[in-house]
Amino acid sequence: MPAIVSAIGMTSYGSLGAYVRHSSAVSEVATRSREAAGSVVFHFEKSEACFGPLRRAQSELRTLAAECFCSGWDGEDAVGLHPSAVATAEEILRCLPGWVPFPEFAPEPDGSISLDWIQSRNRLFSLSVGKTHRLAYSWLNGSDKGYGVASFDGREVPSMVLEGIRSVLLNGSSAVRA
Amino acid sequence: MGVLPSGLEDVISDGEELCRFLTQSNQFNTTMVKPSAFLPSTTSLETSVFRHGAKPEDQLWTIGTEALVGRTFYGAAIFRPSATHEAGLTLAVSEPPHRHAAIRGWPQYDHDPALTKAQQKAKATIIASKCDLLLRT
Repeated sequence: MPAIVSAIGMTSYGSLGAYVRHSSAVSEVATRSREAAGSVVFHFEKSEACFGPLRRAQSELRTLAAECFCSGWDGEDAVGLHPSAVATAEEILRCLPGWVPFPEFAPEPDGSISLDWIQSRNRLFSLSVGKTHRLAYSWLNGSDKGYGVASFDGREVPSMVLEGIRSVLLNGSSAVRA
Repeated sequence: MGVLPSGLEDVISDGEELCRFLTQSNQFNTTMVKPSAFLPSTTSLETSVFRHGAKPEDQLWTIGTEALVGRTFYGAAIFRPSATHEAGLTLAVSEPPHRHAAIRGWPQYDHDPALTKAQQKAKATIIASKCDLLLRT
């Protein structure tokens, strides 16, 4: 079963999860490989030691999605959170490297979800996840600030985003995820 | 310079305090008001604020209760006009309701929604970094 062998040979859990979610191969072998990989992911995620923080982050995200599902959640004219934004945010959580703490979440008026890494009022990175895989972000790091757009392929968090998070966390006190 | 129905002057002075009511518990944490709390409405491209500061607090909450028509809100972000100016945005009076104002001048590029969003976030981040968080007790 070459497909499953290569899948397990992937360097990260996020890559294995991406294989399960994005593989489009339709042969019997490929299908069985995908099912086997999915089983590995499922049982791996049941491990509290490895995935307790991920599950808590997913739970927070889903709670927010439920609270802001309907339009007008802000008392004004905000769009309800897009299901596709929630799904993409979950993919990003799965793909975060181990050194990145899980973010806080916030709703945005256009139905996107903000993933925020906040060290202080003057040191934060904010990533916007919407209907598409183009991610808008902004950051503030002391007197430095900036913004950008990066594409998320569903497999790896864009390097520009990771670098931005790293620079904000540098000199900060956020614990590195186990 | 004129006077509005609320009795306030029709120009927002640099010394005034303004507030943005927080209607969702994820719009803030123990450290700060999050940038998303200041992002503009997608229809009006404005952020709704009120011309009132942290004190007197009971009056602040009364304004919020009336403005949000009984909807739950958790607190307010208090800021000065300089925060919006630093972000390259403008403040304009927008009554009614009494004391209402709007943050305007948000970037909008129809051909590139993601770039629009990134620039809006950058400006919202600047304002949020200059805010004081006041929670209802």
